[in-house]
Amino acid sequence: MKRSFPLMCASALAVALVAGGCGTDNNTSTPSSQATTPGAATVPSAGASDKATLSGAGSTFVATIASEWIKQYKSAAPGVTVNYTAVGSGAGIQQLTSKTVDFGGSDAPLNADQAAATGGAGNVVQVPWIAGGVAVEYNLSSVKNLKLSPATVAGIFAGKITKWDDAAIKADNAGTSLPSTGIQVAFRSDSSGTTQVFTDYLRAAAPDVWTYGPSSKDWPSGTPGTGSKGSDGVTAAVKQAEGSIGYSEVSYPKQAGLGTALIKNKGGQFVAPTAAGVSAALTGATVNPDLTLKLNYLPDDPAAYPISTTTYLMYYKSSGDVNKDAAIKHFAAWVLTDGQKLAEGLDYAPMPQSILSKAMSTVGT
Amino acid sequence: MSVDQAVLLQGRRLDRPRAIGTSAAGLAVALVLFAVTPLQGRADFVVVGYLFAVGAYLLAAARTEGRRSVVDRLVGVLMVTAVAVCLMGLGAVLVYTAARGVKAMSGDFFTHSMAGVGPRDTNGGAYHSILGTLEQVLLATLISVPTGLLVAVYLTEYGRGWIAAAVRALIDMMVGIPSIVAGLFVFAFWVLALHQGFSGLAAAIALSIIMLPIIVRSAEEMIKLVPANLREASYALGIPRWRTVLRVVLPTASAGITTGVMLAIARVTGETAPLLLTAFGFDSIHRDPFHGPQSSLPLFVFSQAGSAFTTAVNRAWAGALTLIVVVLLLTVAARLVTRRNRLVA
Amino acid sequence: MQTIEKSTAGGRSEPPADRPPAGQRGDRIFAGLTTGVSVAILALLVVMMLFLFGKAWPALHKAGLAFFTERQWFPDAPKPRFGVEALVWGTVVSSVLALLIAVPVAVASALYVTEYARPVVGRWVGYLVDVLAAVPSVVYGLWGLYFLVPRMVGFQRWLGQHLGFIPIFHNPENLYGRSILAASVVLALMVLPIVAAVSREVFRQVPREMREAALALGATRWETVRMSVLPQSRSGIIGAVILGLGRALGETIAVALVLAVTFDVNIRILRPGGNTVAANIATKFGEAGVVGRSALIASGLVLFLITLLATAGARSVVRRTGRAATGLA
Repeated sequence: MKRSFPLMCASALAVALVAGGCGTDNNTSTPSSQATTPGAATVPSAGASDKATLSGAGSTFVATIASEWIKQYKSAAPGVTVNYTAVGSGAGIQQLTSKTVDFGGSDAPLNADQAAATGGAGNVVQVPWIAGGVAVEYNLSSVKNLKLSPATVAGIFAGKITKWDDAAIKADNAGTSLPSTGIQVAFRSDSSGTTQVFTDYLRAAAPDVWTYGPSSKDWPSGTPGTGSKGSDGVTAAVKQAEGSIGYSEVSYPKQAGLGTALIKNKGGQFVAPTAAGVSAALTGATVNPDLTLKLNYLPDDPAAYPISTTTYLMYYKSSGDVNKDAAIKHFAAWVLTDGQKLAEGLDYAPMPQSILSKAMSTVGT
Repeated sequence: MSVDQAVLLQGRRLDRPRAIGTSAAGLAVALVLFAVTPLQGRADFVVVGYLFAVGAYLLAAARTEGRRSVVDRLVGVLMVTAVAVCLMGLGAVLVYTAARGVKAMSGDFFTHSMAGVGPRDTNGGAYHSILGTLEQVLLATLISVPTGLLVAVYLTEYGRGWIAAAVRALIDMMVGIPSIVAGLFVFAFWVLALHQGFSGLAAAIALSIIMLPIIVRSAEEMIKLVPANLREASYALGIPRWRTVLRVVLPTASAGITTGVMLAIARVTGETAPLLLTAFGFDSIHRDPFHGPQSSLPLFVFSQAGSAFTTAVNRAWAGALTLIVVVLLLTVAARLVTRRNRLVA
Repeated sequence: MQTIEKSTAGGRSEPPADRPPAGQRGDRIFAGLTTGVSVAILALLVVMMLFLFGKAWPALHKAGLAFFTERQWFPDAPKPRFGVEALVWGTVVSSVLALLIAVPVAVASALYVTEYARPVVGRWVGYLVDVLAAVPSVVYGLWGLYFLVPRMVGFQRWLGQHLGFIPIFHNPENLYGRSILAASVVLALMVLPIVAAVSREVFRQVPREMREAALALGATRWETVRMSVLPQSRSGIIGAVILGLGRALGETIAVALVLAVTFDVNIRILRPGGNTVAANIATKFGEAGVVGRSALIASGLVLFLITLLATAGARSVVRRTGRAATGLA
């Protein structure tokens, strides 16, 4: 043992050095892709806490822009560390209810049961913080700009259409040659707000083909295909096998280099999931008094992308830690003002100003 | 006397040059086959070439040595094939991980965390995870080693009757516990019921549930191997039992116990499943293992691995390589310590 | 440094009764400490087990016997439907398939190391096979997903198209990828070193005289193995297999990464999709509500029970080997 003693000391020393702190949280060496533009309402950094740690969890839909927000927010509030783990809307609500996280993100607002579980509807501040489109992503090397009508989409995901050269798909894509490969469907295996939005859309736009109900965060059983965890899991599954199709928030297929289908809206136009399309769709949504939005999946606007949704930020009005309450309030306010400017660069749509001002007063600044 | 027996007794054997020659001939036939016929594909060629080479070799053996020898040589070939398959599998895993991991590694990887790293960014690293793993494994070791040694001493020195039998049965049961169930224990009990929330400590508790039976088992084995005459000599000198155990028995068994501890540490360093439910994961550096969710290296690899973005997957490979290197170093070190063990032949 | 003679190794020797009172007090304290800690661990784990059963009960009560026959997993829906049939099926099928792949290879390599190879070569091969056991499961999962699955598509397609008449290879949709077969191959790599290591020990236990007797009769190496080594080792090998089974049953992360998720019960191992109890717990725990958590804990207990039975079986079989071996000698 004598000979190995200096070795053990050396390794212990190395361990101590590492633990001692030669690491850093500062990952801002890459210049950000969006600079904050002056002029619009900015939250003064004097309102930020000196030091706080906020942990959040929830929807994978918002994860892409949430990371960007967290990165930019560091300059607005250097003492605050924010962390967001994308585990799915359902899990986010659960974590918030069990108080294992400070804020949650969900693509669907709390329903009556979930609100009751958090101690009553008034306990939780719930505001829509960004909007985006659910893209139908596909992996076909020979086809760019795939066009799909709602009935076709529903048919594919329900298992009624099993090959890419099916008549229905051909009808939507006149003039494009389609391979005869089989279609591999990828859906969400976890409890997902994205699933809820997508299935609600299918039920609204193609009710005779998509007969699964009621509205739920779980993908229905009895359909073909395989489940993967998270929007990035679905995107990875689609990317992995040629001929696959799936659904997730639009930044994921864009990042992975996958095509996103153009969806036929009520007006007959095939629209891509861009920020403009989402904004157009939002104008047709009904805003409830509690700031939840009832989405219209058959919008009249010809430029609207029909599978659009808002996603919500939720946190406790008072968590018992005054410092944390102030920190999260400041973060929420920053997201609803400065954060909205980052939306279009990442293919999200900023919330309309009318909703934003109501949201700001709910947050309480 | 049958022909076969006569042949063996006479010692006509297939000598090595002829064996190699016939195998090569078989391979050549396969090559020709692939050149001439529409058979294609590298994988197909490997399989067919192998079958032809072995077939030719066995045919030659049959011609010179007889049926029994053919069976023997066939089995020999199968054994070597099995070993080759094992080693190829190992090689595939290690080499591929090393290749993809080295490409993604950088100084930044070891010194930066994932704080504020967007999905499109190529920076970011695993410092927070490495720190988390170090803290959690250290805590788990601090919890399980003294406890494990005490339980082992109890079982070997003091244990009597039904309590000892129950403890031994419990340890045996714990050996087979799936790691996810250990995580469930701690999640349901510590994280939820006791309202402690996610933390590095919760992870350490889950890891010590996995480590404890390994340490108890190996310590027990080693302590049992300490010769009785050593103990008796100590008692003859008037040294009380507790001092004997601490100053004579444990030091003698220390090499074996250290091996057991190091193997247990190597095992839990790579555990992911219990950490999912207890440490939960965190993107920034979190030095306090007692409060708040914390990341760890296996968690880092797992969360980056399932992503669709190549930047994330590259980070996963770098993390995987780091993890393999650490675990292998620990295992090799444990084996080196075994050499110093005077109790085992 | 002189080596310690193993004159009377092991065994418990008691100190003389007439030792000084200070020693007695120290002994009492130390004995109390060790006993106390052991009993505390015992009590703590028993409490945890009871606690888990208590937490699992609401879900079991709600689902009743349907817990074992229902395939879907919607415990938090307004009308909860959840059960472990598909999960247990996937767990058992993938583990058995992994064993079918790994055991012949592992036993053959163990035989090679102990019977056929030169001692130096054998020792190194043994070390290398043991390295397979050191690789963490998350690395196996990552490697399986990015290296193995894409390369297995061709092999799986060949199986599906040429051997598709056999029910387990039947795959009419002709979609290949993250299937139970792929997951089982990764599991096989993880199980292999355990089975190989235990088999090696079992083969080494066979007394040399038996081998020498066979060789003296003019047997070839294989005949020696077949006559003297294998019959004695049979129960030991079974023990090794069951230990490997225990490992495969509890594997979570590699399966969660490699296997795409579906909840059905069929024998078609080439079809992408499947699920195991452990992978389901890992993926679903975060979003589980009250009933969901209870259901996951219940499924975890089912898995634990299955693993316990497997390892208890291994232990009793291995114990019988010990008795049989000494009986023969």
